[in-house]
Amino acid sequence: MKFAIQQDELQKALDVIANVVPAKTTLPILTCVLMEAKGGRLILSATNLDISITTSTDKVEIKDEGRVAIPAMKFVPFVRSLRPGQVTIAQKGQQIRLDGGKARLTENTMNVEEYPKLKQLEEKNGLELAAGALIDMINETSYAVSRDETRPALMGILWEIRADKLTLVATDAHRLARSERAMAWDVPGDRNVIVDTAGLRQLPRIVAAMDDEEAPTVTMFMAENQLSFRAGGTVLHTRLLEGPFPDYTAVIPKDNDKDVTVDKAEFIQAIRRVAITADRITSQIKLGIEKGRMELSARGTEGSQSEDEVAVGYDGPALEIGFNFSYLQDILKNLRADTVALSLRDAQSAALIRPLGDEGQDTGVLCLLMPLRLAGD
Amino acid sequence: MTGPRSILHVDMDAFYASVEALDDPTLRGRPVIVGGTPAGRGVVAAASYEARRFGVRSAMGAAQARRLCPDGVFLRPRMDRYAEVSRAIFALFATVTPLVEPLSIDEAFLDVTGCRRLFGPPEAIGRDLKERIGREIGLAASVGLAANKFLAKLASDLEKPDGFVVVPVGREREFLAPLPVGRLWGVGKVAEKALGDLGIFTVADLLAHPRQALLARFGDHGRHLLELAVGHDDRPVVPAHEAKSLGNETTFSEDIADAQQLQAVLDDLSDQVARRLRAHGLQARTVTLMARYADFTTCTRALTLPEPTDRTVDLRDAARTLLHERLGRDGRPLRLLGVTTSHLGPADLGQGRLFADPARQRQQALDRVVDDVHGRWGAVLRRGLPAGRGGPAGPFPGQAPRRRDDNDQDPG
Repeated sequence: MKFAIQQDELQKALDVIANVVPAKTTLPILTCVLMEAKGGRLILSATNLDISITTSTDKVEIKDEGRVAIPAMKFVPFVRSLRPGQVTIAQKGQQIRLDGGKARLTENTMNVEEYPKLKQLEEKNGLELAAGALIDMINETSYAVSRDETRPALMGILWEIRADKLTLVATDAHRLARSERAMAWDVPGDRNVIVDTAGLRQLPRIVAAMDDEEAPTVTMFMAENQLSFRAGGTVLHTRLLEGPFPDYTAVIPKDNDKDVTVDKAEFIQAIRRVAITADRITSQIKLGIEKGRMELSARGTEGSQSEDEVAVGYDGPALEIGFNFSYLQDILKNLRADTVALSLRDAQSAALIRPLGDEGQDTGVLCLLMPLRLAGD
Repeated sequence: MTGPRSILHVDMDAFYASVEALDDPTLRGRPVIVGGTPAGRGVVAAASYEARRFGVRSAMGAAQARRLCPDGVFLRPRMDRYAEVSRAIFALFATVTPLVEPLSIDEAFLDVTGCRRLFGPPEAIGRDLKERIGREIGLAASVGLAANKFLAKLASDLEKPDGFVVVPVGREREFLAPLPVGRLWGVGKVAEKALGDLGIFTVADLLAHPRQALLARFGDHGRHLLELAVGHDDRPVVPAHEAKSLGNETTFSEDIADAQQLQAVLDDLSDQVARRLRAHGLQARTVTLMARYADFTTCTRALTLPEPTDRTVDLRDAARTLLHERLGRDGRPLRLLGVTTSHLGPADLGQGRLFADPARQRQQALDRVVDDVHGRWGAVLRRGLPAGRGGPAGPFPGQAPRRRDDNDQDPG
């Protein structure tokens, strides 16, 4: 194998796939990137067996076709460190040699025959989505997934695929995030799948590497046990997780009658301020809400305490409610709006938090957060 | 800390049996055995001193106890009542010092260093406390007073029951010299035999032995023993809510290489530690495995869990992962295994849940049943061990697992 390519093209392709290369694995071949020069294209792949990504480019001059597995650990940072300009890569027996300007890397390859056979994409019944909307939906939900390996379904994001809309839901049982968008697509039938979050987190990088399209789109393909996406020259396969996913609709409160609106930036700053004195174990802050104002306070175990106040739109009875401040911060950081609406019932019931659109319209995004029982209750 | 500390170790005498005699005066002076059914099943949880004269010991099978002491009064444990009396005793401790470190339901360290100005000399504080336990609770306790935890615990044990032993500051070596080396923390049967082979039977023998030879033979463990032999122990008294870690370890009577046997021991340790977490109302975020090889080199491996837990199954799975995947034992035999949990916090943070978690609830219910049965019958039921697996892999007779609490120094 031998080819020449511009450094920025090679780096862009490696940036798309390298994140999937597992740091630790029982299968050493997976620490490699698979590199194929074939039919005028350079094809790069990586997999951790749950997720695989293949990306390709034709901005390459292939002198000899071939296929090698190169350990990513030194190869990728070396390519990133090179100055812009032409890079040539040539296979010499068990080694590859990379030349970029006067810089040179010689690296051992691994047996390419051991590299797992990657699934080929069956391009049928593809569903087209606006890439920007899809990434927004992933960002609006993925922070809320669980890290509890004893409940794997909650480590993924639920996709509810309907004829007229797509709904993504993530929850760790303490909080929940839902993002819903109207879709005009041709879905064969309703389908619910739970998708590996780590796979979905690759999409922003993949879309960013797409070549200057004005309104980039991503095509999605559903198979029995995996979901695949094609974005430009890149294909991502991600596995589906086994359910069941809890019935989230049952926990969305319908009778929260205390509606509070607050400026998001001011709210975030006040939380950050009082969180400094919050108890390190419970992370508790207290919100005291009354007509027109919300007082935030936190008391630490070492006797320190702090308070702050923000103006709110509220005209109901006074209410005190406790939250884990980091949960609250996660939600607010991921809401794309200047103003947020909190719907509360009492100190024990789930709070409903939504971003308000510019005209106050529903944005399809909704978060639930269970309160923290206030100390002394 | 400047100047010597004053540490009390208070240990209630035959606690469960004494509470029974307190509640039913007709039992006083009679051999009372708590735990085990009248049919001779189960395990002895506690025996009064009268029963001990017949050779009855805790953790002994009830059938054997009945053979040794056929006229004994066999009672079912009443854990709720013992916990109630325990709370009264700890409330009494709290009137002396906030620095109370519970070791179990009936045993605690108290740091009274700072109480001199308020309550007088430490010995007076200790005698007064012992006297108040007798008068206000109606039970006998054995108390040790020394400059550190290790010596205080040794002292309380020397004149049991109803003892009061002071190790005077500056005379620690004198106190320790005649004691058998087996009294030192970390000296199990194997180490005791290894030391005996070198002609070391007492603490004095240990100190008389060439230091270099000991270090060459026992490594860091030897260094630790020498520290203890001169009475050094700087572990602080840590109140339960400030505990930094909690764990158990066990030294085997014979080194074990078999992975299945090691796992069985480890499962048992995980269960004990989880049970202690639950008893203290704590959850842990980090699980650490300690393994000591035949040559006394010691390895630790740690794993951080996604969420704090007090569930047996979570600790067990983490400990197994550490043993099988992270230790790198390569088939070498071990002489000791330990499981320690750290990053502790209160079990109930008050964080509400949106959904019930059926699997989690099942595990918690199972843990509660085991805690309850364990409390009622002693150590007859263990989690995660297939039935019939006892023998060499079970808890080793005569070698009670040691606890590793709080700021224990790693002996290896």
